[in-house]
Amino acid sequence: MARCRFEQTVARWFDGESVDETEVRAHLDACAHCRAYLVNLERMHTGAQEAATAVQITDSQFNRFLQELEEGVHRKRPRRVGLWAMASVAAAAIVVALSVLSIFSTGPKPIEATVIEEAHTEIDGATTESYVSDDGTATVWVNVPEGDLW
Amino acid sequence: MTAASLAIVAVSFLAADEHVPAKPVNIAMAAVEARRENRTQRYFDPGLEQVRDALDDLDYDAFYKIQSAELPCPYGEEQKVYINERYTLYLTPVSVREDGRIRLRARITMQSRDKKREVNALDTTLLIAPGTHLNLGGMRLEEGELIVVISAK
Repeated sequence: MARCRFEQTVARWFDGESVDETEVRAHLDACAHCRAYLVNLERMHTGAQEAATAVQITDSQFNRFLQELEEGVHRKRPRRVGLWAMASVAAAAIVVALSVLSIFSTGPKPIEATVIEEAHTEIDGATTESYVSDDGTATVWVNVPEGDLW
Repeated sequence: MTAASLAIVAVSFLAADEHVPAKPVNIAMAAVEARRENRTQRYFDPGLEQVRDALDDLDYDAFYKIQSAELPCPYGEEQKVYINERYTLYLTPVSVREDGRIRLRARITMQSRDKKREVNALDTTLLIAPGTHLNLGGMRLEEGELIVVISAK
């Protein structure tokens, strides 16, 4: 749409600035573009005024407003045990399990003393005995009957 | 779900408690003939310095070295160590516990005089703590008794 060079003068006149009103009105009578432009300006002005109107709660509505506000605060939300809740519990269980594993597997356990689990001999009549001395030396001994060599 | 988590933890602990390393363990052995010679001072053959502490509690006054060796022993394999013409030592590292102790099977076989029969003079399985000594003893020799001192490194 082609613009008219008189638009700015029309806009200033619409805003109440001091312009030659006779000249503006004469131009509006002759220029369809500026008449349409003036109509748009009036629409925007009206719309802006309506948008600026604040919503107000009247006295009759205020009690109802407070009542619903209080109900909203105390209203229990419905419990939904869904997939996400189960997934959260499972994730928490895994974290706990890994934490326990991490705590108990931190570093090697202290080395304990030598333990003799089993000892036996195939020498006829011989027996075995075992013990661990205070310094940690373990001994497994075969008691061979006197005179029985091999 | 909690039970499943606990089961996972328990299985992890059991699995981690004992394992079979790929790397062999070095085991040192010294075969000694221990005798009672009524000495006023205990005698140790040269080369027995490393095992002297392990022999201290034993009721002998002379210790003669027969054989010593240090060898890498792969887990799950039996290593044969010659002691003398009558006795042979076999070592089988089985596994390692999480606390570092090594499950080891050690047996000493003995040949009869006619060399027709071989028996386990001693067959033992134990958890040996690295750095400590194990004495396997009591087998008869001509003039004393055989003691094999073993340590894992």
